[in-house]
Amino acid sequence: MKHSELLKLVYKYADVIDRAYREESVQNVEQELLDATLFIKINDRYKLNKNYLNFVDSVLQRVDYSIIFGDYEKEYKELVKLKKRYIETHNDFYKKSIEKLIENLYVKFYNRDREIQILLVRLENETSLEIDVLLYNASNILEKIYELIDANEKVGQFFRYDLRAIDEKIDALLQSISVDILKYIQNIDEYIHQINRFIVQTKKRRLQNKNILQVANMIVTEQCQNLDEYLQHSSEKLYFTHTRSQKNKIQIFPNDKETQKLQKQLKMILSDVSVKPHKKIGSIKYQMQEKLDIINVDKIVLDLQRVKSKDVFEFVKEHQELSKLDENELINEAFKVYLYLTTKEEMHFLQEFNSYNIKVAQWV
Amino acid sequence: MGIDEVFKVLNKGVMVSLGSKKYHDIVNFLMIDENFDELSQILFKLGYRLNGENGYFYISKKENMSEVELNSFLKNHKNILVCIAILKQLFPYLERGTILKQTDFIYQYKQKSDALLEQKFEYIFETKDLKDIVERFFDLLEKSFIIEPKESGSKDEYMILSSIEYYVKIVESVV
Repeated sequence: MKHSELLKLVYKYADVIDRAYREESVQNVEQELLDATLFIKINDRYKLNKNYLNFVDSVLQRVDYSIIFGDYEKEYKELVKLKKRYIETHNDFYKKSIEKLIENLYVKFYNRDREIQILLVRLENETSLEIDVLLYNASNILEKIYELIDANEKVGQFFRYDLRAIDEKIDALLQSISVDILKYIQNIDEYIHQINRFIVQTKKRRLQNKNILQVANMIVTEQCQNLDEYLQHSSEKLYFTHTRSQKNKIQIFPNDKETQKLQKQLKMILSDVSVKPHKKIGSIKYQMQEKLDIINVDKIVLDLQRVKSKDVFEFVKEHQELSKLDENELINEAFKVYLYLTTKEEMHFLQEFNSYNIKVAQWV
Repeated sequence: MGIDEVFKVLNKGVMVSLGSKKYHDIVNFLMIDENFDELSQILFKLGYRLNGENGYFYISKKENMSEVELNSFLKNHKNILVCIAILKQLFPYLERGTILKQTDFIYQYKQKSDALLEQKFEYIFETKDLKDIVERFFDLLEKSFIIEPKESGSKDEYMILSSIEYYVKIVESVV
């Protein structure tokens, strides 16, 4: 069969081939598709030939997790043999065979690099598999990629040194692919790094899900004393839910009186403070944790443990870590550190307020 | 958008998230340092704290809550934590920014329903009947500012908001 005839055959039976590709097998196919070995009969069903599937998957960038990369050992051994024969005989047949094998290996490198990239994208976007199965697949791919390192290096070295200076044409061919081959070899390190990072993130997600389910089970079985204690202890910085219970007719917050009081006070404050309109776009607010990065909070905590301050805010404000800040920033930053410290168990709050109108907290 | 408008919204107990279409203007307003600090100082004087972290903003009460407030506070937090556990059980990869469809939810529920899942629904809604709970479940999540319709008026597609991280953080603090 000629190639053009094969193309016509595929075109003629496009529907059944497409159905077999999507549904993995079909009930009946025409004899000419079997004769062309596009289909193979397995267990009373007709499946597309694996070679055809490999070609289509590669073109459509679909790679299965179970892909086997293999090494280049057969090609390498054949090249060593051909090189020896060519040096001995200078027969063009061996030279052409060497060129063909080099091209085959180059295509293998190219396809492998592309397959790994596709697998990584697939892993990152996977949502249909169980997390455990996804982690198994990721670890499996990582293992396969590790196995490629030695194989890649071996062929890379063979191309760079051992096959050089045998023939000008071979040299030119090796030169034309050398940059790409080097790139494919170096990409492996990045892929390994990427999969490792993905595995760590996915494990973190698995642990997080497990913890969420654990807490929910504690809640529904009413064995959640830890959670109750945490919520109560941290209530001052947790979301103050204002939902009104329709069932019990309880108005949680704010009741009308309180709202009026707040609005009155707000009005007074806003009329006292002259708020300048923002003509230019201000700087973007970073998260508290990011701001704290420039201040070594751990050092402040260590010093607090040593000194046992009677007013944590004052202590923070005077601390050397904040000494570089100017007057305007100092109070705000000290307050943010103070807020951060409020999560610590050692913070003991008193009823009184200090000169900055901030609740006095002792470090105990 | 001015400080008074932002105050009016937060005062109603709204948790606003980065990526929310409904509260987009408020988040943008609060993302500016000067605005955040100014409102924070005002609220502090009124007995509240303005909290902003991980892409969400909310207010907390500076002083102790009354018993009624505390009970409601605990009950609301627990209900939402159980809701998030249900979501995670059905969609393990769900996170902020994920698009959640009611139809997918029903499909996954039918596929994965087990005694533990039913127990969670019963805890929140006192029933495990699917036709009763789906709408109420989505309503509760929307009213708690965990999800919002992807497009206004959309009844099927919802977006998971950054505020989900607030509850994840609580879980990490207690487990």
